[in-house]
Amino acid sequence: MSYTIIGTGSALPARSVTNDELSTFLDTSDEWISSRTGIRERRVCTTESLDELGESASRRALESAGIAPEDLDLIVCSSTTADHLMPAEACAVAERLGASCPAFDVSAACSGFVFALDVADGYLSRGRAKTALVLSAEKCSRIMNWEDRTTCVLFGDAAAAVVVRAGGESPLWCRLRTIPNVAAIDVPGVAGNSPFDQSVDSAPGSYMTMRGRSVYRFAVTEVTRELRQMSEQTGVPLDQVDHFVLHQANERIVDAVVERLGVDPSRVVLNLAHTGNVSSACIPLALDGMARKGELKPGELVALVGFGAGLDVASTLVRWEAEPKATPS
Amino acid sequence: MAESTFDRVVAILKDQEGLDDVELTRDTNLASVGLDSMATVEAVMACEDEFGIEIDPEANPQTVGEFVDIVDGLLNK
Repeated sequence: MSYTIIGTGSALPARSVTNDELSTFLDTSDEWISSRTGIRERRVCTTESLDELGESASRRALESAGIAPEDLDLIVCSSTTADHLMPAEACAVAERLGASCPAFDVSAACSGFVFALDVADGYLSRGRAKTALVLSAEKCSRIMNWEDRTTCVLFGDAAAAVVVRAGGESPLWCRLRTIPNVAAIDVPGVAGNSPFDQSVDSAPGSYMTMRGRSVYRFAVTEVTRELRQMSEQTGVPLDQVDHFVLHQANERIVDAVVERLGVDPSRVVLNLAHTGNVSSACIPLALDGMARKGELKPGELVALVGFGAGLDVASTLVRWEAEPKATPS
Repeated sequence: MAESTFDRVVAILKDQEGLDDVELTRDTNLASVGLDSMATVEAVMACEDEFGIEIDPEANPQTVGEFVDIVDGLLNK
């Protein structure tokens, strides 16, 4: 019972890449991609750095919260596609914002936002911070093999953030789980040029590979399990959850979970048609879109579920308490 | 007489969207009747529940016959 989300923000690169454009250099089509995934276009960085996107998303979140960068006590960034292996993406964003609070990254792939939110909650709960920025910044286009039609069509680039303040009813529930399976979704690390390295893990090329069948099965099974557990443990029936914001990997995964749980599809967010899977940025991007459209009302319950490489799955239930954006007086 | 594995697998496949009226034989190619990889995984998961077996998540049967053989192989273990 430790925090309130008091602001949201997001930023997308300018360049949109449609399914039709992908079909000019890949053996694919708009029909194939959209019927299997629900994705019609995605935003991809051209001249923008992830540092820039992260800064823009963070500034918008700070503005909507009505606070200045110097008011932040902590910046936690979720990213597995950062501009720097070190320092943390959070440090690059802190520098650009002019913030001087502790800043570090959390690496939990597509589940990363919920992991990062839980880390921030820990700092707030222990009294180590009063106000924290939780950012997800992902430039998935840099880890795609743009010759692999089974993966590169799925992802896009984005950054999105929330500002959380100590005190409040959230989270009503939070659980993080890892079901270890590295091969299911893997991006090898930097190969380097050590003359001593003979490990098989050091093959050149840091492109994503994915075992789609295993991931689909994991996602549908575990997200369903998480939401059932959340409901059982909190005593909140699923029909009293106002919004379900699931990681936007694929519309078919979301549909399969909705069918299994029997929840009202109108309360389940689908926002991947124009942005694709933006990894850990999916959930805060959806929250920002909903907040700015006035779709999140104070007092509403919002279930967030991230899932992805690890294989990690993370769920939390928050009480939306952010007031609609007020013009600073 | 108990339903054969073939009949039970076909019943599960026909539960997938758009396959109610499609005739399925052992040689029917799954992709050709609209069962893509995710629909096949859904059918695999339904078979696990139906038969109480555990199928390799990366199993990739191309035809109805291959699907039935995977299930039969596990049932006969």
